[in-house]
Amino acid sequence: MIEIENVTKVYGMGDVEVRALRGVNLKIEQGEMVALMGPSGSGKSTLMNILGCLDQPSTGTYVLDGLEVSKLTDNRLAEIRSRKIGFVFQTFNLLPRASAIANVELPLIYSGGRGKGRAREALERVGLLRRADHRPSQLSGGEQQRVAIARALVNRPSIILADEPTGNLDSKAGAEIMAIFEELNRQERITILLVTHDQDVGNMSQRIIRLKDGIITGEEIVREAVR
Amino acid sequence: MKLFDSLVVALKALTANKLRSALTLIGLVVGVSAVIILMSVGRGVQASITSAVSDLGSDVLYVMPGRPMENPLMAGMAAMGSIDALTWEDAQAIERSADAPSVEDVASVVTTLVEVVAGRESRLVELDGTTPNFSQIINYQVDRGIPFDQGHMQSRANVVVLGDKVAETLFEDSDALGQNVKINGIKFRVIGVLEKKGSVMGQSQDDVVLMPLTTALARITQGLTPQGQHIIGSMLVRAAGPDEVDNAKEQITDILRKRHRLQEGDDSDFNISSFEEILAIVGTITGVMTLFLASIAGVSLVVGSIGVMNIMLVSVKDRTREIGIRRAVGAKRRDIMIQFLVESATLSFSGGLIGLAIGWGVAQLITAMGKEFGIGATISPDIVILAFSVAVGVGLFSGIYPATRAARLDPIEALRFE
Repeated sequence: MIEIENVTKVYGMGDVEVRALRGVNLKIEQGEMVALMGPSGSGKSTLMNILGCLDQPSTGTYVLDGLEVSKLTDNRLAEIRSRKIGFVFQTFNLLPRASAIANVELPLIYSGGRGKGRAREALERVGLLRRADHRPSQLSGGEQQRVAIARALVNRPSIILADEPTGNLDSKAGAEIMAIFEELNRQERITILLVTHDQDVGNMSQRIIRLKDGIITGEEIVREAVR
Repeated sequence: MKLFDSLVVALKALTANKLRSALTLIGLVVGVSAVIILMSVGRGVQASITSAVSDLGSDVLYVMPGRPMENPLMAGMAAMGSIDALTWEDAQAIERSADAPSVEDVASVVTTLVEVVAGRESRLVELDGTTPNFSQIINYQVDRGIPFDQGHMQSRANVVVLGDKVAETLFEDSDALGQNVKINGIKFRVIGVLEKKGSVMGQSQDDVVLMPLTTALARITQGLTPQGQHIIGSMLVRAAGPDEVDNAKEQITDILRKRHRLQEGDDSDFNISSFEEILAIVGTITGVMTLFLASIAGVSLVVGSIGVMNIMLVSVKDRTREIGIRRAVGAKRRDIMIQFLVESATLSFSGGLIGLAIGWGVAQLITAMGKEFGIGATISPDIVILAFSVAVGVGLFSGIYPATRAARLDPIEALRFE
């Protein structure tokens, strides 16, 4: 469960202060599928980075699964990313020289979880096991994103954060990716948080949260979460 | 993250960019092998000089004309242009004197460069006119024939003993024994050939002709002092034992000062040094030389390690995005740091290893090829350990800064890096 209260984020850029978040309150239950929407500069990437424990709020609190993470050390944050969070990026962010399976294994190096077994399982989950030895350059965009999802899954996270996951894909591949997210959410009750521009993508989630100029401006329930 | 994983990651990263890694390696390889080669050659030269000098024995004193100087080798050089003279009569006086109980034996030597002719062959060699006891004092052995003796001395016989190399060049296949050679147009009979001694620092010790001192004084050098005494080049004195060396030195000094009519307070016009002293100076000179060579090689090692730092910095920059990805999936700063440190350590370790192999190989080659000239390379474990640990040390050290930079990267910035 994600709970943030009065979170602000201020970047000092020389003399100019950029207030990326200006007091955000948000609660996301375990097993929800939520879309975060808003124009560029609305602060949604900043919020995403804080939720993903890549960044920390300037003020306010962030409680993840009962743990106050806004005050944790860099090392502890890395551990939480390793154990609880999976990232999926718009540009896939796979290691270009490594095979699909090696990319999926990457988080296991840092979590201490060993063996190809879990990586193969994760690749199987996204239907790419037969492409395990292909390099990213030998895969289509949709396939690369599926490898990235497998990588996000391999440590069995409670949350997957996806930043514009369909932004670089055609609509067919995009739909496939969304189908995988939906399935993961429904079958394994993984919390999915999507950042997107695309209203269609937003509509596939259960709840849309709209962000503008660093504050939440609106919220709409698309459908009831599967409980 | 386990060290084994780091090693695998490092190897993958290094093999992913083979040319770059190889070029970086070359710098280290050159540095390490240069240190090993130059230091072992330095040591080899030192060892061969030391063994040549110590062949002469620790109870032998070397008396030369010329004013004493701090450095006996320099004194020897000064003596060449000196008007101060030692004479055979001086040597005989020391040998006979009751005031020199610590002196056991005195050999006189007069040395000059001559052309030795046999038939159509000729050779420019060092001629030593000396007393028969010379060979016992400095370890010359006659291989074939006989050494000259007191009888030859008294009769000023025209006989010579040839060094191995001289005999070989002048007479090739035929035996030199009993043949005649000509020096300054005078005929000499070859009565002996010396045992082969080899070379020290490319200088053959077999390129020598020995003849009785009296013969040399009468027919070749013919140098006389104004008082009509026979000028000799040097004396070799054997003390009664290693413990008597200092006493012998004192006694010889007293006798010679008296004979040369030196007043109290005058500088001596001769110079006595023991071979131990010469050895110590040779040791210092070659030690300095070795150190000098090593520091030149050390510079290339430093350059090599700068190469490692350079390439690691480039590598960190190149892989900024990769670092971001690794951080996002759970790598700690420490993991990133270790990854790059292991990478530079692997580089420098393999560079050190290859450099070691090449350095060792070349040193062996030098030893094999230089045998003829008395040049050898002595590889001792301390050189190997030094070169290798310096390579790995500087490699690791040059990895620290790039690795720290990699670890400090902000994951968000790194992920955004194009």
